[in-house]
Amino acid sequence: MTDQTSTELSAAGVPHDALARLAELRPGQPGSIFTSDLSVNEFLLVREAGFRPLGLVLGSSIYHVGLQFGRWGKNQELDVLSQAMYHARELAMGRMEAEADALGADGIVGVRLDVELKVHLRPVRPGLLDPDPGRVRAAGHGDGQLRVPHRAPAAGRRARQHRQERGT
Amino acid sequence: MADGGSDSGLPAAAQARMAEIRRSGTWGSSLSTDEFAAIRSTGFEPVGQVLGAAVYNVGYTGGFACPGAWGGFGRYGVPAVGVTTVSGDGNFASFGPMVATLYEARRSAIDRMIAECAQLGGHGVVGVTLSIGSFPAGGLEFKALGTAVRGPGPPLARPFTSDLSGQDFAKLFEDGWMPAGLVLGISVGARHDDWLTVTQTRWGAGNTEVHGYTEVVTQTRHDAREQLERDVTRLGADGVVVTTVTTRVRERDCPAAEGRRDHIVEATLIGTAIARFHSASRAAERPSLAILSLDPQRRQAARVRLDR
Repeated sequence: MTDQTSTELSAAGVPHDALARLAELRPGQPGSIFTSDLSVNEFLLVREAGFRPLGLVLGSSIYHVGLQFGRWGKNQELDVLSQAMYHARELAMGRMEAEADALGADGIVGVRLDVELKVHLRPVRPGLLDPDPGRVRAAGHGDGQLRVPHRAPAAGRRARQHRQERGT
Repeated sequence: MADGGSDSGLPAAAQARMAEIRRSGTWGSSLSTDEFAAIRSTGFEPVGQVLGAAVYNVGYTGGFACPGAWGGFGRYGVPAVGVTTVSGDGNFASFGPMVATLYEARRSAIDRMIAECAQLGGHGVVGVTLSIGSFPAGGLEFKALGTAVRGPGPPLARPFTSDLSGQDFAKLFEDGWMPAGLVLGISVGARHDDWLTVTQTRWGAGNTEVHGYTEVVTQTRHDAREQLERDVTRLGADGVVVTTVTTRVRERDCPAAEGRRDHIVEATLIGTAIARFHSASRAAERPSLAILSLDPQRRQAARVRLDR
């Protein structure tokens, strides 16, 4: 492995520096620390691009989705549900951006959006549409999180269904 | 506590195992080939697999009261005003004791792992996996498992720990960052249902945000983040790279008011605190390709620039 070592890595010098730095760590040092949930690759690439992480910012919203009327046989957009998704996402992302502003950041990288549906089914009169309680997951990575428990009526059934929360 | 002396607080079986590893002159690990190569390229050598375990009984959690149940008179049998308590508040109703126990248990496991590492003459532990499971004879078992590595020079007073893999460790190291230790941010928050949450979650309420639940989730996660920062400051590191972010929400029957529900939120952040030791970044002379254009001509031009 000898001639394969990285070019400037003098095997004696660099680990020495690293260990010397650890030896001089003092608890409770004043000064700002940064937090981030970037992976190591993301962290190094972001720094290479000229940015440095300031802090982990979070935003959440628990949203109640209203009644959605519709018919099974009809092709239609479920506008109440669409509107709920947009609004909840906007609330959560807005809070995340506000936190970033408070830190004096230029932007947010690695945003992870988590939309979780928690469905409670309760008996109501028939004729109301029961929206599909599928899990919605937005793509991407991130520092933000959003949670949307969703309560919707079901026709003629009584059940309680909880979904396990999963954060990133 | 982890000074590698003869009495380092380790059980006899662990001490015997460390002595055997030292005597045999060989070491075992669960490193993959890639991790092994990456660690060796930094100038550190693996010295053996190390383990720390602690079994705790979480008896007194501190969440038996519910201050939110007394938030004034309201309609529908629920209080008018909601009260959110998080474990960082430190008042009698929060889950402070439970969070303190979770911290203490994880710290015990990690400290024992560090003690084993010091006995092997290592400078730190990489690839730490933290796990919680129920112990067959009762209680919760907290385990920390990793690979101890040794570098040149005298041993450190407190060996470092990190949950980074071997490759991630090498990448950070090449760029001038060194892991200082594992850090945790744990918080538990609770909220009793109040008039607003009840009205906002009724079936006829329409599209609306539920302010009470949002508040408990937000405050709990903020408190977890604050605990994490406190942990990083305790180590004296420069920052933290978080690897695990979990949030769990569950309901329970309120102990104070019959027939009512409380929502309990647990937020956990686990990461590695890092410290900068090298100001010049060595990765600069071969920059990574961060943006790949879909235009073929621009891509060709970029290729030429990189090869130069």
